[in-house]
Amino acid sequence: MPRLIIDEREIEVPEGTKVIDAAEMLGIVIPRFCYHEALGSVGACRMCAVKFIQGPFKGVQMSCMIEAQDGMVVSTTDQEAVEFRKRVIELLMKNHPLDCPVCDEGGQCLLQDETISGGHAMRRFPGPKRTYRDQYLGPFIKHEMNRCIHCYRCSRFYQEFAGYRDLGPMQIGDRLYFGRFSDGCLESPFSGNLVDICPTGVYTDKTARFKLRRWDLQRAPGLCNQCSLGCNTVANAHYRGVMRMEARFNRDVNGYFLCDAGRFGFSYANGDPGLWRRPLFPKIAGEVAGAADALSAARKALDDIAAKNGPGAVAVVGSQRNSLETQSMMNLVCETRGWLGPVFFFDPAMRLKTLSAVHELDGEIAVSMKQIENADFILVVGADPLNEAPMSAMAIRQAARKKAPVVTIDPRPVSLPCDSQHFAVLPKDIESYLGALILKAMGKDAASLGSESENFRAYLGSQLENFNPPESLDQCARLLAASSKPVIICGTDVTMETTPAFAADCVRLLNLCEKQAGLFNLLPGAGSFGAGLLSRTEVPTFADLVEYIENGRVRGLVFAESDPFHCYPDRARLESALSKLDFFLALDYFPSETARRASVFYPASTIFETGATFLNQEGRAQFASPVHCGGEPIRPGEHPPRVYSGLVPGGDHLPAWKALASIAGMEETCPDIAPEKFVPPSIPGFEALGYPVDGQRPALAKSGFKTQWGLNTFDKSQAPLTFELLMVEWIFGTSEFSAWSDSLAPAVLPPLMSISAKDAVRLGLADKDKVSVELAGGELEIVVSVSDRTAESVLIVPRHNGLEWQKSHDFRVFVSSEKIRKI
Amino acid sequence: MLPDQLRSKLREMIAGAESPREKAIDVMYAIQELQGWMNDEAMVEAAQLLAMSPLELEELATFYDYIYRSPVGKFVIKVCDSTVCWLEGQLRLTDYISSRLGIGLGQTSADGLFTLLPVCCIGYCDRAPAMVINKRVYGNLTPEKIDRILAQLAQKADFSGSE
Amino acid sequence: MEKSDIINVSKNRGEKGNYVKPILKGLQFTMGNFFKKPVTIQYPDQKTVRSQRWRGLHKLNVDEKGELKCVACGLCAAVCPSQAITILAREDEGGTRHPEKFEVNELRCIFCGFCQDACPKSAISLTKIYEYVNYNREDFVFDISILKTTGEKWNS
Repeated sequence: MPRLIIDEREIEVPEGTKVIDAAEMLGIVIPRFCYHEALGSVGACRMCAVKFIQGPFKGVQMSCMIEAQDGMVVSTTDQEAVEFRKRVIELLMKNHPLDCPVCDEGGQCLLQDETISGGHAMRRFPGPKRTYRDQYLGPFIKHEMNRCIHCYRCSRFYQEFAGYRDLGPMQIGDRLYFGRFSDGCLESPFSGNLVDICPTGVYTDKTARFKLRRWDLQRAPGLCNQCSLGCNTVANAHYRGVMRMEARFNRDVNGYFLCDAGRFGFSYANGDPGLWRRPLFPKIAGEVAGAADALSAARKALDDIAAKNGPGAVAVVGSQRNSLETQSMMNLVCETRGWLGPVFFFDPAMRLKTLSAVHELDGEIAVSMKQIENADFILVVGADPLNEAPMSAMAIRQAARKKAPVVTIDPRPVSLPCDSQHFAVLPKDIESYLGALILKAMGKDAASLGSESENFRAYLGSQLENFNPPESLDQCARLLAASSKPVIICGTDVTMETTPAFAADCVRLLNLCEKQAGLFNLLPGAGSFGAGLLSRTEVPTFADLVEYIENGRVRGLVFAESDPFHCYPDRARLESALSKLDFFLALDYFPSETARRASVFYPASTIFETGATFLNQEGRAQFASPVHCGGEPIRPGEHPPRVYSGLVPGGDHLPAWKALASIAGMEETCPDIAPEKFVPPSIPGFEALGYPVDGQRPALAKSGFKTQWGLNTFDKSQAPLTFELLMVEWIFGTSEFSAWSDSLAPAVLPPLMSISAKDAVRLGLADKDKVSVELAGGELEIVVSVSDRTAESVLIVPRHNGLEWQKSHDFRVFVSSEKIRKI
Repeated sequence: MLPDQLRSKLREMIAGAESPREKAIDVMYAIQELQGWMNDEAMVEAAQLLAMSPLELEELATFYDYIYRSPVGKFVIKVCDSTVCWLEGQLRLTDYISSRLGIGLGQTSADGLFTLLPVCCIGYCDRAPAMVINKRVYGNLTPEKIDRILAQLAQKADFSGSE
Repeated sequence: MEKSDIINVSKNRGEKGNYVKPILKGLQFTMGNFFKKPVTIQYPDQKTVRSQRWRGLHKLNVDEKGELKCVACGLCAAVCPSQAITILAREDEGGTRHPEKFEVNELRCIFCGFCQDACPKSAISLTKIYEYVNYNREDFVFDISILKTTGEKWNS
């Protein structure tokens, strides 16, 4: 560990630390433009010059290019270095347009800061400034090349870090231009990071363009709740609306970056002034009512039902986007009042998958995204990282950049921003492929592993009987055998019920072979891990609940942040079931169909207004702080009333869990818990830790689930010439957040049904043909996309908001070939 | 659209390489030889052949002075503007050419014969000031020599034009 | 009541006539000023001269094309100590930034002139107008149309 002296202060830093980082550890921030911890150093901007007084280097040198070594004495304030930096900033400012007053970066601009701190004030160069033509870069990013200082951060991020090939440097010297070949949308779903990473205002956030100034913003550390990863964000609010989102650094989770769905998918939380989407006022039978009235009306109606038909006639339904607070409160309410539920899952298979994924994961095998980046073999099974959890695809790319082989086993045409070996296999065959791969990688020495290995072989035995793995699997097995830190990324969307548990066992077996293998699950939503932990076995899924409603066993329902119209596959049946209910209450922040039809609707607050706790898919507890109090937005042309009071029109609503406590008559028994003081009941992991510490993984502390070999409810039979309709997620356009966020709308692509090239020939279809698929609920019209990477005998259809996929009538659907017609 | 003959020739060229993109410059040269400059359509097609994104090819094309992304004249005069030529009076000579042809740097003469471009050092410092016209280097330039060269070229163009 | 408690006010009667001298002194001052030029100004018929640095009502300046110089950067609103300025920005077809709304609440304003100092475009300046009346408080919230023509209403 080298020790060095920077500005007369001594510090010991880890081997390989750059001097610029060593200084930062001392709290000395050396000016920089091109250097970024995530991107590494290139020494292009010459801004981080410091004077090396003693040691192996002498004189003015770039601190980002030199690693800290023993005996170095560095001065950042030496006259020579200061003078050097002043000259550099003067040259960088030679072409900068000084349009700070109209630039959205103004107030958070690195170039502004360094110019001021560098002491450059007067322009001495009398010549003209260079100008460029800007390009159209899509709905999220505004391009203003004149401001560029040629630090290359954008192209290094876009091409090297994120792995996309449509934005980069063109021309040379003074004419250097960063842009695309021609105007058009940026292809990368990580393009929003250009806003954060650009040291000046070349790339600015188009959704927030001219809406705000940095110093007017209310800022708070937040969380992204759109997928299960739990990326850290900074939410920025202004005039009672969330205006923009920035990435918040978290070494273990998202690093410095964020995907576009998370960054731009916040407008659901705003009662958009133009559209007035977000429901802000409680309603009784469709009529606007006071909050207290709505809550007491709901309480009375539910009490009546419980008194008349027994408490079991009231059920509580949650979803995959509930916070841990809401989930715990639902559990508490159901336990105390004897209500049915809480029902977290719509699909019984998904419930099994999530439960096994959650319970099979323990502290021994769980890995974070940072650990994925350092893995030396990545196996993606039944997951489409880019669509289900985009930031995990970015982590996979970082591993691939360090030469880790990436293997994907999935029916979908999984594409990753890195080279990967893809096996397009049916969901039922994923386990066979994975098992065969692990068996081959373990080789002969697996015999010495004892019962675990034997059980594993016995379980696989029947599956592998008629299984002829392709040649390329052997090659992958050799790579896996050679690796020391492999990671298995297992999805839950299209896999069989047993696959998550099977993947966990594979990881354990690999660990027995003296590897440090890890498991990374992708779950369906931000609240899935919590739902998996808190879900009780005797509680039905929503699919069962619909039957209960139909036979009159359940007469009252509470939907807490849940919209069956979005999640349940049979819309007609759902409508008739809901109409049979005596009463149903919706607590939500989306203007969903459920909210519209509810007997009583109460507008629950969003994550931005009251904060929330979420457990991400690796069991890490994280808190989002509230950023503003919400309420009726200020419409253009109105100033917020200048009254010194905490009350805001439309801003007095409670989070779903508090509203639920009030409806269940449990305000007294429920202490007023702030997110950071929250202790969910009956989770051993939390008890052991006392209060969960932000960013820790308490839920994994005492876990450890024993494998039940041979648990398989999955029906593997499939008649010949039938196709399984696989409903999948897309990064834009399938989630509820995407449905209600106008800001994401321009990025949503029209729905496409992916089929394999062989099936296309068999069905007589070509790419971009429009087909009609006859389903139980009617005909689904969709455009076909033919891919070599799709598995045979599947039709892959996104749960697109613009597609009536609810015609499928079931979670698992098979379609025979004659029901697919070209139109 | 590239002619089929050229396309198959390029395919062959690319197939011979270890990785397609190492032939990027040669492919662009071959196309340029045929049509004089690289238009957007040709860029996209070449990128397809090379399994690169159009942007990646554009990065290369615009980096080099010898690949033209806009139409050029029959003779492209590339005057070296690096240090040694500059010391030997390159600026004066450039001005001379420019006034003689009536075009500025980066422009093409009205008759479509000459295009004047500044380029980086061409390695003829020993014969500075130097310039390159269509793959031929001319050193130790003086206004008289330039007059002679330009007259020769113009004559050559007339001759080939009358053919 | 004791006799000693009573104050005899006519004690100094003996110095009768002492008041004459002060009265004459006062009259002398009066008469002295009576023939001098008066210092009062007949406001509102007459007006005093404003100092060069007088800070009165706000004005939004226009450029030679008659368009507002303001680019809605919000620096004046940020610097305003009494939060009297409200700005909303708008983007025109060319991508240029303009104020959609620019309001100054003249009743909140303390006429410190910071807005004028902060403005990078010299778009807002304080005029010397100090006399303004309205029937409603709301009318003192000046919007762009008033600020652009500040003074026309009262100076005509």
